[in-house]
Amino acid sequence: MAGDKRPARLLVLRHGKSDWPAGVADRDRPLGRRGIRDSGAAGRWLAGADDVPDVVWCSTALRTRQTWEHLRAELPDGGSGCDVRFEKDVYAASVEALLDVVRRTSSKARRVLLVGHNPGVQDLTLLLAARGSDDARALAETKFPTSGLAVFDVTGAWEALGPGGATLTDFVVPRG
Amino acid sequence: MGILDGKRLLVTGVLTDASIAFDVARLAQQEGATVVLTSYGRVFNLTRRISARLPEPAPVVELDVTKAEDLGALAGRVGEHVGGIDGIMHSIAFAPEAALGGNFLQTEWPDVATAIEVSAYSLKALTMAALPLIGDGGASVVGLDFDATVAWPKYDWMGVAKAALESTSRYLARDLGPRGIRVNLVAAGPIRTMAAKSIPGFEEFEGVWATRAPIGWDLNDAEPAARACVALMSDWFPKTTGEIVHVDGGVHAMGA
Repeated sequence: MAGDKRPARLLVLRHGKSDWPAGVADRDRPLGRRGIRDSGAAGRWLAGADDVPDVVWCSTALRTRQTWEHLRAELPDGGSGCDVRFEKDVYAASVEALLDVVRRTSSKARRVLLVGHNPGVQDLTLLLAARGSDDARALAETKFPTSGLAVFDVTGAWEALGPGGATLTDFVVPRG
Repeated sequence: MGILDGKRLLVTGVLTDASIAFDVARLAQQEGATVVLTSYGRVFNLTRRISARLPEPAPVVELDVTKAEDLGALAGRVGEHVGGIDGIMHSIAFAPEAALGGNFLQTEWPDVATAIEVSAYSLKALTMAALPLIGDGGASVVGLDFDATVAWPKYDWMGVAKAALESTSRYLARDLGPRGIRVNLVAAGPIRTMAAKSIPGFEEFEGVWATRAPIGWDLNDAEPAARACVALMSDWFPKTTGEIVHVDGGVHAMGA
């Protein structure tokens, strides 16, 4: 965003609450009704915070794809300006794999959204959050519920992001 | 029966479940050991979370090896969980960005000092801090090395720090031998841990191991190195100290 002097942001989102219909593989689990509503609420939260992502790393699982679809519907222009990458390495990912994905982000990106799964998103949050809000950290530590969103300020290069490399400014669980 | 039945181990360096130290803790528990972990400051709560993925969740105590107050408090903190210590896993290394990556000729002393303090001196600091918990039966101290007899691409002052670690282990072996304390290192091949991510040019090592290890090498498997650590903690190396065991697929013994 032109003239935006704020630090770069990493937004780590866990997918919305999913259903688990009989006979459906984990990767194909859809969002439940609450997950759909909460994903929209996450979109409204990002739009309200002026944190519309320019790059999105989204797990290839159905529930994360659907989270993104319902989220983006609430962004200005339906999120049409977002560069979205559906990435199989975000599904069932270790914290190392998640960090590798984020590190591949183009240096031009200022707002990066990762839509993933637990335990990875919570591990990543604890790994990165050296500084910042104690309250946010305590929340993210205790429980990282579905639709939980960790918001980080990142001052260094994406490719150099590592343990303790970011400031956790907020942890929210938007509810629709 | 496990080879560590009844042994109580202090294990540093568990950051994620891909850490070499995680596999050491996991295998040690499977072999009958009681494990206490250490972690520090900013990553303490991640270690606590990862600890829950061990066969037996292990207590985690605070230890920053560069802080005198943590070192002074270590025996007391560990003593709340176990009555003594029979083994110490040193899995601690750090070098500032300026000390790695091909900048060798420009790196300044404060960055070098940090690398050596955290990665080499800490073997002495940790062992001495735990000494009050070591009984008449002695103990086994094991550290993680990366072959420091030669120069590597990009490894720079971390390589110098590993050379210092190798020497530190020999002097510790000399001075603590009379107390029944063995001190050894495992020189592992490259493993894709969180620590490896902070080494720019790590992929250059990967190529070496892909072509030169006669028995092969898996960059994603910490277990071979961890097994050697567990073996050295056991009673099956009773007269081995000041040694460096290479767990590198044989690369150190090949000329090309």
